[in-house]
Amino acid sequence: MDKKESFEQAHQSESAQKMCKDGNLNKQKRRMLLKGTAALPVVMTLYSGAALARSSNITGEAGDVGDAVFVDESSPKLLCVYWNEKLDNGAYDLGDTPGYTLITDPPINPLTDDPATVLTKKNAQLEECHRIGGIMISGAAFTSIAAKSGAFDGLMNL
Amino acid sequence: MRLQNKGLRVAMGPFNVCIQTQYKPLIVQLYTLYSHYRLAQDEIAEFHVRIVTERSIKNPLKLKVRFLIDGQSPFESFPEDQALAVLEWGINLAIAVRVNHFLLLHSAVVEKNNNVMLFPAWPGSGKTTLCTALSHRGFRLFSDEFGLMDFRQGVFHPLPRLMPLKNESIPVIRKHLPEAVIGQPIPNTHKGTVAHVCPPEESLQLSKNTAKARWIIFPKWVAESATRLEPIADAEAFMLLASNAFNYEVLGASGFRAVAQLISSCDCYTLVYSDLDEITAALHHLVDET
Amino acid sequence: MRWLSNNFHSLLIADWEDEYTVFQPDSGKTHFLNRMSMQMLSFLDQHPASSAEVCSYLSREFERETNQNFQDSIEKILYHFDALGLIRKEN
Repeated sequence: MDKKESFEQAHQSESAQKMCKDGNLNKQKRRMLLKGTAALPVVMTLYSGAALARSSNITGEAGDVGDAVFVDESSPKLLCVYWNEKLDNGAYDLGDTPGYTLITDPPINPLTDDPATVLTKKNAQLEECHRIGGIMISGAAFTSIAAKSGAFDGLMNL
Repeated sequence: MRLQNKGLRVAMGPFNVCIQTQYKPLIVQLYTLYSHYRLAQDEIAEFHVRIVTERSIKNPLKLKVRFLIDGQSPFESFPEDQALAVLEWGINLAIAVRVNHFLLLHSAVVEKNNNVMLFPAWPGSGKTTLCTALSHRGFRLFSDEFGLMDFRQGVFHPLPRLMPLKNESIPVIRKHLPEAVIGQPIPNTHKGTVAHVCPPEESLQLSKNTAKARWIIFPKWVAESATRLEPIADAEAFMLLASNAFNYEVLGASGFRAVAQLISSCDCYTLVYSDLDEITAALHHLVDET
Repeated sequence: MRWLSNNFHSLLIADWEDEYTVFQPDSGKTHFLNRMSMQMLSFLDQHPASSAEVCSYLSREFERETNQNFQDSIEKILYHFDALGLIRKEN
């Protein structure tokens, strides 16, 4: 059997292809804009879980350091999340599994530091987070991203 | 009273949502913004949601609100003035995560002449603003957020919900659509200031009327840009649409067939726009010449 | 070393006129292939072939000369197909 015939038979056995053929007669004008006629073979694979991951892990920076997530009540450390891309609307795409670090300096002791000092130190931690290319996120964003991506599983034991 | 007791069952497209809250400012907002929704008090509700209030241990004077679905809390609590935004966000999340009997696209959807036009897009692409404008100017609103495709029947189900305008789009729509019913702006949410637009009453009344898709348009708002509507190749549209669906991978081969069916029956375009009058006219022209 | 296709018959293929979207039930993944990469899979579904034979076939089908760059590209795609589970090495 001719190879090309066989190839077409393999295709035609699939219902999806039949569906596509039926509706395509009026589409000749806009074919092959992607890479169909490239002189080299092209393969691209749909990114796994793209829609839900991306829609879930796009967030804005917390509006105020008071709304940001600090880990470890006895010695609060700012959760500083790295972002992949800053979007046109000012939001951040954190990627599928957001990376993060905890900011430890200056150390905060809620038992001995008065509220004004705690706030000053939290802002200093935020400055450090920004300096290394991260953002603070709100508790809501944290919960949503943690549930979807498991990105912060390492924090759950703290 | 029902909102405060057993909950108010509200028909939202193919779903019934039972909403319960004791929080009076939210009750007032809901009775205003949900006034044209059909009640489904004697029907089964797919989603049972509540907004409850709580006080912070650290700051007992500060009242916060928490969203619950089936008694579970998927989020942290929020400032009380964000109750409506939290409720709407929570219902959307519940639909996005739980609905798998439809192909669920992240898309604005409108209809004209019994043909559906899809606007699949990521957050920040301006789809809610565009959808708000179109649904007040001759198109029927299906949804600003979800394309619900029954892939066995090949039809889309309307799911007209409040449309959350964000930040600068609020004054833009106020000016563009003075007749639109818009709730109070809610500042300082995680998406900035949000104000909810009521779906047009006619769209709510026709929310049982399904239709087939005819156009797929991938929109992007770019400031000061001229309107550009350009055809794209089917294979490229396929990959874009599949990656846009919330549950494409969950549906497996059914998802593939559904997307293939959609692409084969639709004309696919990319759209760059900034002027709402211009794009509204262009899309009416596109529909009318078909 | 020779390659052959892996469960080619199980693939769902949507044909968009020389561009293809392919659902692979074994992995649950969806791929985009252009005409040349689809011809490679189809060729390897007929019988096992070395990368040189694949190159030779494609150069005939697409009326182009083979050179080192082309051979390298084919080789790269073959290994990529292998990683995706679309083809496998002959035992």
